[in-house]
Amino acid sequence: MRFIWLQDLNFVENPYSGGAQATDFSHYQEGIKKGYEQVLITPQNWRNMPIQEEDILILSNIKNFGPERFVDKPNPIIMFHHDYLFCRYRLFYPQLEKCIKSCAYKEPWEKLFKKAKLNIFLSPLHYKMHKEVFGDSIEPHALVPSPVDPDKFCGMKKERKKDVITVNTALPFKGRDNLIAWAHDNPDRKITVVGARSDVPLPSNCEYIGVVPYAKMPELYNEHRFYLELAGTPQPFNRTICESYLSGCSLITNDLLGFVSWGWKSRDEVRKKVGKNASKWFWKAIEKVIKCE
Amino acid sequence: MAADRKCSLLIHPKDSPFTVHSGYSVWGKYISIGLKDAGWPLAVYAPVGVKYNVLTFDDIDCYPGTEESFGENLVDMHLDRLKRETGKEPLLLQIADCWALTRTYDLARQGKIRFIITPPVDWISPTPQYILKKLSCAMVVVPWCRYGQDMLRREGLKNVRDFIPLGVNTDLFQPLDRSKFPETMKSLGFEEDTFNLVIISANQFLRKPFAEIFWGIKMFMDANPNVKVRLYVHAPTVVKGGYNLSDLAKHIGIDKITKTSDDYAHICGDYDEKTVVKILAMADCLLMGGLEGFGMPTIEAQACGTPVIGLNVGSTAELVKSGILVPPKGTFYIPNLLTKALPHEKGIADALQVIHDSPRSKWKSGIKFVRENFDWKRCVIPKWIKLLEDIEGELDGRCELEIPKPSETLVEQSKDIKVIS
Repeated sequence: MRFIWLQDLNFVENPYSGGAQATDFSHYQEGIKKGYEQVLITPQNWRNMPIQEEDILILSNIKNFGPERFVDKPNPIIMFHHDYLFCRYRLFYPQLEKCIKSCAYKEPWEKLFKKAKLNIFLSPLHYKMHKEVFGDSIEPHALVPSPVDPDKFCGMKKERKKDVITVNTALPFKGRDNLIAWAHDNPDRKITVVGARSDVPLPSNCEYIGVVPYAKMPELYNEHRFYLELAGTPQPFNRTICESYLSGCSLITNDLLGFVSWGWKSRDEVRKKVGKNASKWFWKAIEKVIKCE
Repeated sequence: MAADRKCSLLIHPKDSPFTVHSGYSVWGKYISIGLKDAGWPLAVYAPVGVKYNVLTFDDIDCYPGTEESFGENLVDMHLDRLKRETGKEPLLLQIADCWALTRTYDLARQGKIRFIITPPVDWISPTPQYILKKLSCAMVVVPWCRYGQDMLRREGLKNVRDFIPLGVNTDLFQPLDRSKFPETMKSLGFEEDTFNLVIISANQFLRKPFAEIFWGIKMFMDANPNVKVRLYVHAPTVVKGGYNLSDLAKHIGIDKITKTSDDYAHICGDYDEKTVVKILAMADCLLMGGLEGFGMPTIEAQACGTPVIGLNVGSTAELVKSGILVPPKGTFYIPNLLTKALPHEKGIADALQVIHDSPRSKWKSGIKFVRENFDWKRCVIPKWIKLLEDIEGELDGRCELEIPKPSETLVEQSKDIKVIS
């Protein structure tokens, strides 16, 4: 039995180039521990990697592949949703009436989701947004949070001298306008802005420090008391807010973060659910539907 | 209050609607004014007639072109300019000989522009494959007549919408009392007791059948030696790639009854729509023998109560209510692989006989027919408005016009801030 991962990006070569890659890599490593044979196919090597009929396909971020390629395949399919694949703007799903009732892109994706043996979502919020559009076509489903390493992201018992930190929220689809509004409304708060640069000027109480290497992030979170993320559109999970919470930051946020929709009550509970347990959870959900055949 | 439109429009008639008098420019004028009045922010791109500097006519900007013909070199830059100026995603709306365009299709294929083409379909099936391939790059193809619509659909093109004809201003094009225009009659070479024939056409070898029409007139004259025939030809008389019309008339033997328009007046744009109305209203018959994509004079003449002789192939068959259709004498290929047809000279002569022998009152049904089907304001512009609204709806439905803003529910939820310790 082989598992074929299909992903637009190579998460084995660049596991930390993005949240989806980091998540997939973590699950992939757990799969190796379980002794599963796994192959990664990206659009670059697609033509050189033949798929056997008995292979199980894990379709991760497949926007560049498209749904039509898989709908008629005889293979069992596990649909692993990271964003809103069916949406033209997969990273910022606007949940408009036309999205729910008459999305122009719905049909081919619905065929694929319906065909899948299992649809895996990253949070209750992520699932709810899809359920509104696709109804029972996404059943059966499982909810598996993104695996964030609680050994890496944890409290360091350092004095938190700085106020608020926010990561990559200066992007429009990550809530840039809400960040700016909050900064204006709270002029006495000092906000450290990390990651992608905003294309509009930020208020004077925001200090942009650029991109910080991933390895340095735990320390940076531990220097701050609060993490701020006010998403404008429903985020499937959001690893950053989880990382900052595990690192001891209090959260200033809203209900549009998938992480928040899990409703975990404490850091201890979060530690138990994410990390390696999330990856174990991932494979358990798959084994349940594959073994049932 | 004009509707809030989702797109901006770059109208590309090639010929300036406000300084050149051609079929394309007339279309450009009525369409740009009509769509502007319907609320679309727009500009016109007219490389023929506007060179260097953006000129403004009737509150409509005309962007310049530096290349001859369709000026494809600047299309994408003008679209970018329009987007910057209006803040709205631009659509290119182009009236054009589809076989002549190249860069426009490449840009569309690369996803850099969206364009709607309304081309003349002035050939007989089969359409060459290279033309079908080109047209498939357009977002939407809007033929001018059912002939073109049915042919392109039958040949497998999937993006063909219902045809929208060219139009005529029926407030302007109406019958006139000839007795009130003695100077005009004289300038055309017409008299009260003459059989007055008119040709209004571009001068293009084989595309416009001057030789066949001239021979048809000669045959009629030979069969009716007592009829005083007069012919006025409204076309540039000497054009590169066209006929020398004076020489042709002399060769065929109708030079003594033929008068032509003034080439210098054509160059200076002295012949406007009001001039054309008078020409057609003074005539007993308009001769249109070519395989036309449309043939505006066909409907203009009928609006003035003047019958038309036209070819029984292509658009003309749909447009002639007052007049006679003549059969082709054969088909032939032109270098761009299009199949064309020419009218039979005897057919023209026979048609002239019928029209000459009929009272003028017999040919009035065209007036109402044209008014009810081809008036710019009443018929044609509303069709374009409907089509563009449908297209905007489709683009909006596919979220192609802009990144949609989150729903009100999400906006409210995003403002509901919570602190989790």
